Amino acid sequence: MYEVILYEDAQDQAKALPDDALLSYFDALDVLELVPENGLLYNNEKPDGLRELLFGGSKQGKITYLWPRRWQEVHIVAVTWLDLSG
Amino acid sequence: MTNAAAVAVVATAENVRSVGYRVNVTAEPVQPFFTPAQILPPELSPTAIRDALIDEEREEFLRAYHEAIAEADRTIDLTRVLEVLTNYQRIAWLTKHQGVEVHRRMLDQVAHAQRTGEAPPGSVGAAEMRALLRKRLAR
Repeated sequence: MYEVILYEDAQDQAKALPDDALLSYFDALDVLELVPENGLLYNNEKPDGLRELLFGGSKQGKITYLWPRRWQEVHIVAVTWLDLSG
Repeated sequence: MTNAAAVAVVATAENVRSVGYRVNVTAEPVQPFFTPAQILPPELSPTAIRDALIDEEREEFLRAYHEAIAEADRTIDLTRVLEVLTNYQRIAWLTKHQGVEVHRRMLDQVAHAQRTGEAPPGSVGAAEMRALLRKRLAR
């Protein structure tokens, strides 16, 4: 099991998530603790760089994270949410 | 007779006013379904992506884009160009969504973590963040 850590900006972004996004966000954290390799590459040209995991019913949430394979830690560097209501 | 041909018979540049059209029309065939604008939405345009990216990511995009264009020129195949545009459009979206300043800080912190293996000061564990947000949900 991997230790998941949030950077300060990612903490602020997570706190700004709407309430109805939180349960799927928690599920995404569970996924990162177990299988961080499931994320997509942030930049397809950089296989050792950042990754992304989508969450939310319409996949409008995105966790961007760092997980070099030699680490036992997953570093969440951004949490974004696209408001589809407007 | 097709509609386009029928228009050609009744409406010309010379008689267009006299046959009851309020604006000039054309009998030229048109292709309404395959315009470049429909194939490439605005957010996938190379200039929109370039303008949204910051510093080193803009340089990386331009290098990849020019390489893909050169490849397309050789192969007559745009697949690689579209892959590059799609790849960097996602990065451009994140840059715009979280703001240039936060995005730049994110990249700096990532570079530092990759060098040292250390998270920046102020980082917290997911368990702590989860507990905080669960408290909010319980209210």
